[in-house]
Amino acid sequence: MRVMATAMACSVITACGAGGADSTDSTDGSAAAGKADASATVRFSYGVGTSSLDPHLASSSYDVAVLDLVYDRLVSVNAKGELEPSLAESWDYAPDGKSLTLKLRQGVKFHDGAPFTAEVVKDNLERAQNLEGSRAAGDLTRVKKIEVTGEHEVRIDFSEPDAALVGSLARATGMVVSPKAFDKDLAREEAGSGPYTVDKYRPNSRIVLKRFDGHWADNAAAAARIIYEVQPDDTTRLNGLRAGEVDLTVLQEPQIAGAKNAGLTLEIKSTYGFVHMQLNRGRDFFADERVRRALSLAIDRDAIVEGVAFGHGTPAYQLFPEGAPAHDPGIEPDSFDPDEAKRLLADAGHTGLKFEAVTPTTHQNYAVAVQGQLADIGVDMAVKVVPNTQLIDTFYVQEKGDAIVTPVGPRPDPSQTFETFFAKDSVLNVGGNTPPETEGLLADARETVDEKERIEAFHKVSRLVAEKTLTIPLVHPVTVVATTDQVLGAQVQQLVVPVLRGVGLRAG
Amino acid sequence: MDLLRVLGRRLPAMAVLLLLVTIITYSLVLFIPGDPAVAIAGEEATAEEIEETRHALGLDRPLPVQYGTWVAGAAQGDLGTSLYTGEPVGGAIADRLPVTLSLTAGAILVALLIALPAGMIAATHRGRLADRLATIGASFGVAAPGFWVALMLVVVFALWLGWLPATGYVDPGVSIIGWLSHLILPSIALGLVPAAELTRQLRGAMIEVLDQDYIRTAYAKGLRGGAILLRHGLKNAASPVVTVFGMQIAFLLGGSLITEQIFALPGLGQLTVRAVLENDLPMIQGVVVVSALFVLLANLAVDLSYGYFNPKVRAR
Repeated sequence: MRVMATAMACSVITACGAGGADSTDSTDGSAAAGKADASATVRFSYGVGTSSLDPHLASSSYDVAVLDLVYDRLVSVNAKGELEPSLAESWDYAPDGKSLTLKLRQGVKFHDGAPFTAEVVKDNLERAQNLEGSRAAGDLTRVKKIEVTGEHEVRIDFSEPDAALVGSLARATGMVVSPKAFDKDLAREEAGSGPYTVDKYRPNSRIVLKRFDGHWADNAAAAARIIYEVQPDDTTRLNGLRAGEVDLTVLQEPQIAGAKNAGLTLEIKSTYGFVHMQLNRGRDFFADERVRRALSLAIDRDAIVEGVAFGHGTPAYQLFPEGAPAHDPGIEPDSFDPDEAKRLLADAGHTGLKFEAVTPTTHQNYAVAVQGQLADIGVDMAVKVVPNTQLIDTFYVQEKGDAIVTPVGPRPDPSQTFETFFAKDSVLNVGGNTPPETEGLLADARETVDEKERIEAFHKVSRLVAEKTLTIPLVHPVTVVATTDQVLGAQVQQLVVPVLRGVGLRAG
Repeated sequence: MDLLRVLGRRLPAMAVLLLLVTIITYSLVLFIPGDPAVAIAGEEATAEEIEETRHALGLDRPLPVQYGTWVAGAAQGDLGTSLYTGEPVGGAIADRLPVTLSLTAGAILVALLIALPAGMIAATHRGRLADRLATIGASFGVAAPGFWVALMLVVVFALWLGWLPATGYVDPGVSIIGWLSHLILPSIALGLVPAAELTRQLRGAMIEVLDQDYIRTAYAKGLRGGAILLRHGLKNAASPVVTVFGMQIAFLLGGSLITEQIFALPGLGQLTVRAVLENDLPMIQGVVVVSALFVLLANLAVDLSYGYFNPKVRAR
């Protein structure tokens, strides 16, 4: 079966609209009615910056907020989380899934004048694989060879089928660097083809971006300049917005009421991100699925949404929310049943269980809420707050703490999320101990190229995770995009990371 | 010259002190939890990639070797590069230092503008209303949490009244007015505690001085009140006050961290907080050295000033 990215086979996994899709952002539902002032400067304030301007060294999904402005990707993602053509106008998998052919956009130029060609794509993918310290190499482990098969066409050959590769090309992995810059140190200097160039860059503090007039998309640079300020303090960002010193920022749930009272424009939407309590299945008490299920049953997710998130967000019983392709509508949510939870714990011989959960400073309220609910069934969960930057080292590497209550950012392809948490060698699959069928199901999801069958494969993984309670999803939180009433084109992104292409200020 | 002799003795001592500070800072790393290589490698790194990152950053070398390399570089003016962003530590600090210095200078100015008059008035009106008010005010200044004062200033003057900006910093090269207006609220927020401390110190010192015989003599000679106050009173009361002032410098550096965060000032504060949370050792070291140098220089200035205020104790 050929999977063609044409207008007919449009689905939420592979995108539609081969050719002619000049805009890189979707225009539905945004406050984009009205024209943008072409000479305006948009001031954006966000909690994280980027550690490097080299896309293949970007170690966090949030780096894309900046990198997307100066680099183009082969594939992009719209506000609904759907993959869309970008530098690759269309893509086809071979029927056996062992190769992927990309048809490339023409007429694209890098900021330094170099032309975008099929050769450039091949060189970039090889750079992503081979650059010392490359963070993108992990996405390309199944890529055996890249061949230029036409003037604007490239074929990627896999060692094993990789249906998730298109999603990987929608991350920093798929960003293309100018061939003239391969020898340069790009940590603080960009060499992209995106709608903006970097005018001034102070790492983790402030980036000033200027429109690049030669960009191929008509409206990707709606503002002439973007000033991206890194401001980790939520209150300071809100104050800046209220005082008119900032045009656009992302806020947290507790600030919604205050922002509304101040007359700011808010878009509040639930996204593909989730907060979960992940258990270290290496601990003997968590190796028992009855114990895991008991904890899940003891948690009143509605109460958490009400109490911790001020009524915003939706309870999560699977990793993916309704509407996402990997969400299996056939899974019965674990209803809140503390009595059944106590019974299961007693069956497993773990009544009066004691353990320690770590949590980042930003999400301690979730941990404390869970702690209270577990206390009601006689489970003593201690909460240890750890700074965000030390979380991975503390819980996943040193395995201090038996559980973690933490948010997870969504990735463009469901396989990436599943494999991060449940694949055998993944660092985040702490404690291992996954059921024997896990590897097979993950492989199916990764290797099935036919869309419908792949969705089925996703559902099977979701079902396994839910039935064996491999982790305890809690909530799909909302993302709150706050702006003045002058801002156009800003939208909540299903993949959470802010997108500034197409964001501008009202004209007149 | 006296001054040169003093400097000749003090500067080497300062250098030794700085070295000691750097050794202590490096050793602290042994006690701070967290492994920078893991965080730098990113959320999806495999164990191998983490090791590669560790090696690439030189973090697998023994601590004394890492320290030795750093000192050798620092002696030549190279403070190393950030583990996270690769930017030169010296450059990052140089970029942000002017902001922090502006804020500190502003806070000092606020402190002096409040403390000098308040302290003197309190001393000369001892026991009366003005004194009570000054004392209460000073107690409030010391007791009120700095971040709360800062936030109240933002709410009242920036958000309600709209008189001053709530956040941000403007380079004086771009606009002097902008630079000043963005520094007013933060300087007040940061300067209140030193103002309070100085008011109390000055009041106490001046009361003591004004009781002295030579003051009565000056009045008897017919000198006017103002001249007596300033030339004889203040100058002689200055020594203990200046000492406290020197101690406040260290406070100002630390307090600037929170103030910078609340007012979104891109100074050393943000840099330091991030560096500490991320275990970015070269950056931490750089900031500590610069801060220590600053404090040492401030205290040297304080010591030298004694000679001006009181010739009897001119530093030898």
